[in-house]
Amino acid sequence: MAWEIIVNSVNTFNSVVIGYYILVNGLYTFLLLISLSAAVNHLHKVRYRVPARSLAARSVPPISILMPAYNEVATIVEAIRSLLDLSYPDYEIVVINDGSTDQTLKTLVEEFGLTPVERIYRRILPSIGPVRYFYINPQFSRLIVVDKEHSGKADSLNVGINIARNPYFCSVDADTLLEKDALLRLVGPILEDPDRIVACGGIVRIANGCMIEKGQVIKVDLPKEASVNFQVVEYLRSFLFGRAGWSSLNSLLVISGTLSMFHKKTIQKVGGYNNRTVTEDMELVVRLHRVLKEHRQRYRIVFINDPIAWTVAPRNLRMLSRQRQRWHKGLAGSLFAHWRMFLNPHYHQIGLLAMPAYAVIELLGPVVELAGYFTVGLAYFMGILDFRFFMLFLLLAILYGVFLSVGSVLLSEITYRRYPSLSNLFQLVIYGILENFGYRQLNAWWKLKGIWQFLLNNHKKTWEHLEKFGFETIKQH
Amino acid sequence: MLWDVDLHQVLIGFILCLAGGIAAAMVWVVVRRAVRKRYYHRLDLERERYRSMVIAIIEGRFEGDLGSLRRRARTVEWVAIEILLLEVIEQSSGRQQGRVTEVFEQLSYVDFYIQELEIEIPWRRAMAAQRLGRMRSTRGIPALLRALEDKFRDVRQNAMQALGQMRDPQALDILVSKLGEAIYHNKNFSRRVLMTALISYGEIAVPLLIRKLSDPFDAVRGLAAEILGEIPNPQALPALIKSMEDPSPEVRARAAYALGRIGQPLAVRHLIAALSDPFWYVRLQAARSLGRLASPRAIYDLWLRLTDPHAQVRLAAAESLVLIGPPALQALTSQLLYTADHYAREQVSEVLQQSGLIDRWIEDLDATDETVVQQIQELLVAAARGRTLASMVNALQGHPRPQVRMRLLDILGRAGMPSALKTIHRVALHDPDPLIRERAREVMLRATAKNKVRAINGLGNHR
Repeated sequence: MAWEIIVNSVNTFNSVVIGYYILVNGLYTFLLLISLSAAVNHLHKVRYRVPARSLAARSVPPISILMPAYNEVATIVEAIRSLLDLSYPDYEIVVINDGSTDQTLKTLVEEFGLTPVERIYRRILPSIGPVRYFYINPQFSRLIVVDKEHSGKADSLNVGINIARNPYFCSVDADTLLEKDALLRLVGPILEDPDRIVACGGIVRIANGCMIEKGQVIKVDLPKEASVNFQVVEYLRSFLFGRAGWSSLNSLLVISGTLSMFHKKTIQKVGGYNNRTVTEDMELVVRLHRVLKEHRQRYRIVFINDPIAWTVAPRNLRMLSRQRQRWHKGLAGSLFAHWRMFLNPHYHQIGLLAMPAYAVIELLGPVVELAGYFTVGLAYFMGILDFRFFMLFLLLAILYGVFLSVGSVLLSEITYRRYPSLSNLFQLVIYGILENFGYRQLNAWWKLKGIWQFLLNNHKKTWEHLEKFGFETIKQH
Repeated sequence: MLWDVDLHQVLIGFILCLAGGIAAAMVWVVVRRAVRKRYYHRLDLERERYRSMVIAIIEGRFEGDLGSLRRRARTVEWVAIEILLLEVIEQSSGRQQGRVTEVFEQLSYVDFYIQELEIEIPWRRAMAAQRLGRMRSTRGIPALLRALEDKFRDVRQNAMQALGQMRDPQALDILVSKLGEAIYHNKNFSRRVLMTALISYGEIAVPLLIRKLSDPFDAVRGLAAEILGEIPNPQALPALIKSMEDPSPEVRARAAYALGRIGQPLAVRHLIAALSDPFWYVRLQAARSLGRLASPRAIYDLWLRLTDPHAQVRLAAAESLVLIGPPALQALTSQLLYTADHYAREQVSEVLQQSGLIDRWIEDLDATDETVVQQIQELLVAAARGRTLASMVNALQGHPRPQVRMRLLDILGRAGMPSALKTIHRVALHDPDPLIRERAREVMLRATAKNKVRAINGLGNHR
């Protein structure tokens, strides 16, 4: 009797898993198709669009770049040099030193010859960390460094928004390099539709393995480490077809904090970054949707296929695991904080499609996947493994994953052929296949741990402590 | 039902399909890369081949029949010639530009793109509109005017941009009539593209835009004023002055901006009146425009605006005073010395710093005339209290003349700003001159205990 119940429940669960995968794969295919059409459109658009440069150079809006930094001594100088070198008519750089305990501030002061000054700090958005001093050097008139007490990344960004003087701001991580015309490209959609676009994000790529000189990536190459290559494929997948697809539906819930531009007034209206979540970038976008929908404002949050920022990916598994746990915990937190939007027709496509899809696929995906592996193992040991279920599971979960990974690598080939050599491309395809045997399962495990941490209510606000090794070491590859 | 299918075969089938698909895709990628490489290589060769010929045609040295250069559309040679001609037209003007346009017409590029504008595929229509604009052939205008009503936004925008590039008077009427649409139905096309198109018309557009200054809709009047500011032309002066009394503050602000751009002294009186407008952004634009006009008549009113309730107006007023030059500096310095409003003092000193005046004062600190030095000292103390310390702190650490460093030490000591104390502390330890080190120590001793604690704490973090 008890045996029968167990067998029945295992079988029922298996059917649920299969049903789940059919749903998820259907949605992914749908997104892939949308992204494909968006990519093709984009390719045409590049050929005929009116370039931002020619649209009356003085009519591009001024931008403030905000760079929060906490113990970033390894990369920050190079990153600021890359920012000072951008081709854009009017921008300022606000570096917010969040009470670093290493030499970050000292390095900046020495490198750029900064002097402390006092300025009035107007607290328009609430911020906790007291501001100590402003540092400037009249020779680098675009650069302002703000020193404040430690209070987390979100709070630092709010301080930055309070200091920013321009109508748009762009948040950039301190371990990120921007391409020279990244701002011009990022501002493109805003020029076309300034009244509706409130936020705009771009593609982030991995800088490991690339040759870097004077803050610019001069030769693109793949890194040696397998774990980083897997991430390269992962980034391609998540940006090129995840986000491009969601953006076409105006349902983008994530804009990577590594490179994103916002309309300052709108962000002030929704209350700035939330200091209580671990992924403040995602939470902000979800809140933006929520508040603007509630105000019945017509708006768009877009993702564009081309502005390129290069960031440093964690090289060892321990760091990677920590990063993924944090991201997933943040995802859970952001969705949970706005649970009222779920299936709520008031929020249109966000409530009815994007939020449930993110919750079911992104958030619960790893749970279902690991549970699937577990029941397969369990059924095998109990001798009741239904061979058909096993094959269907393999087909839907693993092989379809191979299809998606390889598909995104190929999508990157037709949109932006940034990997110049064919051998790079073959390598990426192979990593796209291998990714599904081991790396993906590991990733699911980390994400599960992230959910567990969220359930434990472990709301410690932390900075992402990657092991800092800087761009210089990358160059030697 | 799904359960009855032989899954074994499905699985194997899927694996085979996937493997086959990946292999096929890789082959496709390799072939595509090779084809593209070859195409661009050929394009380069063709461009080199035709370059001298194209230049000869434009300069009128070409002997043969122009028709012999006509190629089938979209072949490599056709594209190469097009690129060369577009390169020339972008760098030329006047008669030579007209000559290139003629060549485009004779080689039937224009006809080709006019036909393309009727095609079903939207991106090809958009491309055609863009190309017609770059070729600047008036033959394309009727088709482009039709394209303004296209279903696809990018086609409409590119057509608008193209018409702007051609500067044809018959299209102007229609573009100006679209002002309202650009504001109230911005789904149709972006305001910025329309603005760019009208601005590229220049003077010809001015009379029509002036008429739009009496449009019933606020936003249209505002936009017309804004565009008039971008095409600075004295013709618009009377109409814009009249707009300074518009009921809508948006229009007044933009008219004030435009008056500054046109730069006629006639507008000064009206701009001064606008300095006491109830809306801060009107005052802001008026203050900025007065700076641009640099009229000494505005000094007193701008000086009053240094204590405006709105920070940006204060800043603009201070900046304008600097632009007006020596007669206005007195207004600025008196404000710096005597104001009780510390916000105003800060803004004034920030502007003085930016204009380089503070650096000049520092250089004059060892002047022989004792009264001058005293005056400068007073001003610098006030500026330091206005938190503009960067130049002074820099000079204190690195100025070659010890006399200047010594006097700066006194100034900063009197101002008593904690962030300067940090530097004074450093000077007390490291300055090469023993007298200055001694004096720095005295200054530190005189500083209040609270400031010292803040300075030391800051230093601890700084190290």
